[in-house]
Amino acid sequence: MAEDAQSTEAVDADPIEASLARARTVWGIIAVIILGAIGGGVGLWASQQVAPQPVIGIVRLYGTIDFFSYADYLGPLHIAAERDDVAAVVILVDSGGGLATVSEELFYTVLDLREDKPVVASIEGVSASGAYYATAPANWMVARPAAIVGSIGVRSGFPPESFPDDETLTTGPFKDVGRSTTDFLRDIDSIALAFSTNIYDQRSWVLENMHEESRLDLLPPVEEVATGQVWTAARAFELGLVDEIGSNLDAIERAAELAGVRNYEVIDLFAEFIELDDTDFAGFSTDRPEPTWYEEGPWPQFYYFYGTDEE
Amino acid sequence: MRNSNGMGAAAIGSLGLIAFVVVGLIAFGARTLNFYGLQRYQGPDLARSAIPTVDSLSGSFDPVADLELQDALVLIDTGHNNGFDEQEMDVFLGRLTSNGAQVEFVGGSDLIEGLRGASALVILAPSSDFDQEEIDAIEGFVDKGGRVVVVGEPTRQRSVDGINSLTRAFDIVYRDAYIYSLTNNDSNFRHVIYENFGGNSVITDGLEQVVFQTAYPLAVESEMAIIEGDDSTFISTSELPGGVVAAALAGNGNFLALPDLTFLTSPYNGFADNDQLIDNIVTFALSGERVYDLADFPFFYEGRANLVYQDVVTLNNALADTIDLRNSLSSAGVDVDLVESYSSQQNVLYLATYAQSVDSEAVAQLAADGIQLSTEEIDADEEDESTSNGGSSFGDDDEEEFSPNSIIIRGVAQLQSQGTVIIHLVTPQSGQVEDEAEADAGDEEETSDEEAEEVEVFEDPHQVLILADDEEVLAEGIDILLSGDFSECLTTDFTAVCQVISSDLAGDDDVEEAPEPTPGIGADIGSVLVVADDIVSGDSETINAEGVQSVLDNELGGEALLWFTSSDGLPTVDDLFAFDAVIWSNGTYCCDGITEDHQTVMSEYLDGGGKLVLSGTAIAFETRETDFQSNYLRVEYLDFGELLSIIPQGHPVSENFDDEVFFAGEVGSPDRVLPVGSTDIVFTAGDDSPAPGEAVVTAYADGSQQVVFSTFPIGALDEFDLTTLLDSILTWFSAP
Repeated sequence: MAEDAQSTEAVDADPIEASLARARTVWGIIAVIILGAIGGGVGLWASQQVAPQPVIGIVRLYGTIDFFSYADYLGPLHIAAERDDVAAVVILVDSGGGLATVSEELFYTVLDLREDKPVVASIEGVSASGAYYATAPANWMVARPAAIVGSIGVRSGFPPESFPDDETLTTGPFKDVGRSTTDFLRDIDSIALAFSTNIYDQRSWVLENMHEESRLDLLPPVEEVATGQVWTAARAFELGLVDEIGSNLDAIERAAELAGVRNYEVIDLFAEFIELDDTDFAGFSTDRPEPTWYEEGPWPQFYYFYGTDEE
Repeated sequence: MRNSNGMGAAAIGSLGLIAFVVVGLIAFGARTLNFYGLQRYQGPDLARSAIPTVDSLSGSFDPVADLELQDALVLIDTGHNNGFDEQEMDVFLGRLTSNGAQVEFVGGSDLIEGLRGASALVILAPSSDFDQEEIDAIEGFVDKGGRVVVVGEPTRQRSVDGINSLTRAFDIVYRDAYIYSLTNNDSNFRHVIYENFGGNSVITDGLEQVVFQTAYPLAVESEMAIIEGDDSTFISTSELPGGVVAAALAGNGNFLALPDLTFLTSPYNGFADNDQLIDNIVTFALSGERVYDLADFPFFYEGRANLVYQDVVTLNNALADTIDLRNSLSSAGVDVDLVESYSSQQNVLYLATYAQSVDSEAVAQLAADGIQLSTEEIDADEEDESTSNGGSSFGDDDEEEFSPNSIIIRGVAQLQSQGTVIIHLVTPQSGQVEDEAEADAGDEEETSDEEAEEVEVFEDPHQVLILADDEEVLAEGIDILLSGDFSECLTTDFTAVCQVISSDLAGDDDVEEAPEPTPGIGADIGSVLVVADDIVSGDSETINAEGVQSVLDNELGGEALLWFTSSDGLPTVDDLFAFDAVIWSNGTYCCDGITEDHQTVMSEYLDGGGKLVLSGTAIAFETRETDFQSNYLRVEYLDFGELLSIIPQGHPVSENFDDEVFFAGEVGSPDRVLPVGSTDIVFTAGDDSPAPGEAVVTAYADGSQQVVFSTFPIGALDEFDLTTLLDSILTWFSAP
C-alpha cells in the first residue's frame, strides 16, 4: 500500500513538471527566434551603416568651361568624392571646352576621384579640347557614333605691348607685360605639351588596362593626336580616343560594373548640389560672385576651346 | 527528471545568441551582397604625368655684314594694300639703311617711275593685284639686273591673288595655304624649322636653320627652290608631307620670293639663323648688277653731269625743255654743269643739231655704237632695211657743211633724217649690246664691226646724246626723253630714233593745235607750291605730296614745285606767295605735323589773300580749340574714325563728281568736322562710314583768301579722282 501511495504522488507531480518544461521550451524557442530577429535587424542596420545602397552619381559637363560655370562641374564632383553612397560617377559631356585653368582643375579633380571611385564619361554631343581634357582620366569613355571628339590644343592671344612713359615706373622690363614674346611662345608650347602628354598618358593606361585585350596599338603618336583635329566618335574609337560606342545607359551600367555594385540608384549630383543650403560646400556654392579676374588682366588668357571664338 | 525540465536558460541564452549572430550576419551579408559584389573597386595607382620642358631655339648671328657701303635706292611698295607697318619693319629697313641704301616708299604710278632709278624693289604682303603695266615694268626692271624681293604673309593677306598676279610672270605661284610641321618646329606647328637649302645663292649663305612663322608654300620648278621643308612639313590643304618649297629664286636670280613676313620683324629675326637670312636678303637686294637703258633717264647719272650745248641758239630755242632737263636731273640728285664742250670722260647730256655736231666726239661715239648719219637719200621702200653702203657719213669723213639725209642704225634700220631725233645712251653695256646685235645681224657689216672695236668704251661715265635736224625737233626729243615714253620711236635698249613733226616740215596747215588750257593751272593759277609736311623723306606726307605734284604736272599740265619740310625746312610766307596757290599735304599719321609755327605761316598767308588747300589726317584733331582752326579753317573738330568713302555735296569743288568716291590709298582715321559760319561742306563721310553725313572736306572764301580743308590726304584718291578734284579746286581758286 505504501508503495502504491508513493507511486500515485509521483504520477500526480509529472504532468505539471512536464507542462512547465514544455512552456520553458516554447518560450526558449520564442526567445531564440526573437534574438535571431533582433540579430537580423542589427545585421541589416549594420549593413546599412557600412554598405549603404550604392548610388551612381551623374555629373553634367555641358557648355563652356569657365569661371561662370566651374562650380556647376566641380561642386557635383566634390559631392561624389565626399559621399560614401556614391559608388561611381558618370560624366555626361557636351562641351567644346573653355578656359585652360578651369579645364585643368577638372582634369586633376577627376584624376583624384578616380583613385577611389570609377568614373565613366559619356559623350552626348561634343567632347572637345578642354572638355576632353577634363574627362581624360575617366576609366571609360562612351560616345555616340556621330559625337565630336578631339581638338587637343591651346588658343591664346598675344600679351599686350607696353610702352614706357613718364608717369609710371617699373623695376623691370617685363613688369607690365609679364614676359617677352619669345617666352610667351615657349609657354604656350609648354602648356600644349602638358595637355597632350596628360591626355596621352591617361588614354594609354585605359587602352592598356581596361580592355580585355590591349588596344594601345591603336593610339597614334602624340604629335598626331595634338594637331587640334576633331574626329567623329566612330573614328575616335578606332584611334583609341574613346572606349565604347553606346548610350548613357551603357555608361551607367559600365560605371556600376566597374564599381562592383548592383541594385543601385542613379541620382543627379548637380541637383543635389543646388539643393544644398550650405553656401560653402567643398568651397563651391551656387551664389558665388563671378570670379572674372583671370579674364580681365593684362596677361594672356589660355583657352582649351574648340572653335574660332572663345565666346 | 532532468529532461522533463525542458530547455534550460543557459541553452536558451546560447541558442538565442547564436540565432542573433547568425541571423544578423545573414541579414548583413544578404543585404550587402544585394548591392555590392565581392570585389571592391581599386583605383589605378598611376603616377601623374611629368610636364615636358620646351627647348629654346636660339640663333647665332654675326651682325655685320661684309657689305661695303652701297649707294642704292631701294623701293618699298605701298600701292597694293600691303600688310605691314613701317614701324614693325625696323629691323629690315635698318639693315638696308645701315648698308648705305636709300629707302623710299612708293605707291601708285610712282612705282613704275621709281624703278627707273632703283636698284631693288621690296614688295611686302600685297593684297591687291598688280596691273599689266606694273608687271611689265617689274619684268623689265628684273631683266636689267634690278633685284626684286617679294614677301608673302598668310596671316595678313586676304588672298594670294594679288601677289600671284605678279609672281606668275616669274613662274612662281603662292599657294593659298600655309606650311606646318608637327615635329620640326620652333614652339608652334606653324613656326617651321627649315634646314634644306638649295642652289648656290647669296640668300642661303651661312644658313643652317631658319624659322618662318606661318609661311606660304610656293609652287615652282624644283631648280628654282632655295629653301625647302623636310619630310615632316605639310601644306595645310594637303595630306601629303614633304617637298614643300618655302623660298624661290627666279628672273635669272634677280627675283626672290619669300613666304613669310614675320621673320623679318622683332623678335622673330632673332630665332635660329633668321638674322643671317635677313642680312643675306639685304646683300641680295644691294648687289644687283643694274643695267640702265634710255628709259631709266636720268637715274643712271651719279654725282654730276655736264649739260653740253653745241650752240647758244640751241639752248635759247629749247630753253624750257632744257630747264626741264636740268630739273629732272636735279630731282634725281644729279648736279648739272652747263658746258659747251663734250668730254668722253664725264657724265654728259649732249644737245645739238646734226649740222652743229659735225666735228663732235659725240658723233664719233654714235658711229662707234653703230649709228651713222649718211648723205645717202633713201628710198621709202628700203627704209626698214639694214644697210650701210653708199653715201658719206659722220664718222667716215669730216665734211663741214654736212647735212645728212638718212640715219643708219647698223643691223636695224635706215631712216630719213628730216624731222628725226636720235637719243642715244652711251654706257659700257651699250657697246656690248650693240656688238651682240651686230653679231646677230650677220657678216655683211664687217667694216663697221672693225670700227666699233677700235672705239674705247668708258667704264663709268654715262652719256646721253640727243641729235636732231633742227632745234624744234630737238626740243621734242627732250620731251620724249623726259617722259620715258619711247613707244613712238624705233628703239634698241640704248637708242631711240623718233620721227617728230616739225613746223618746218608740216607746214601751217599741219601745225598741231595748241592744247586747250586746263581750267586750273592753265588759267589764272599758273604755279602751285606743294608742301610735303614730312618728318622724314618717304613718309606718308611725302607720298601724298608727290602724288599731288605728279597730277598737277602730268595730268593738268602745270608747273608745281615740291617743298619737303624734312629737307627744305618750313617755308616762309614769302615762299608761299611766290606761287599762285599752295597745297599743303599732311599724311595719315597723327600728331606730328601742324605745329604753331606751321599754323602761323598759313595764317599769315591766308591773311594776305592766299589760296590754300590743307589736307591730311588728324589736322583738325591737332588744331582743335586753336585760333587757326576757328578763324582760318573755320571748322570745329567733332571726332575721328574710319572713312571708307566720301559723298559730294554740290559745292563747285565737288560738282564734277557724280557719285560716291572711294579711296585708292591709305587714309588712316580721318577727322570729322562741323563747319562754322559761312564755311561750305564740299564732301561728307560716305554711308558705310561710322558717321555718314558729317563733313570731311570744307571750303571757305571771303573775297581774298580761299581755303579748302580736307580731313584726309587727298593723295589717297585715285589718279582720276585726284585730277578731277585738283582741277575743280584750282578752277574755284581762279574764279572771280
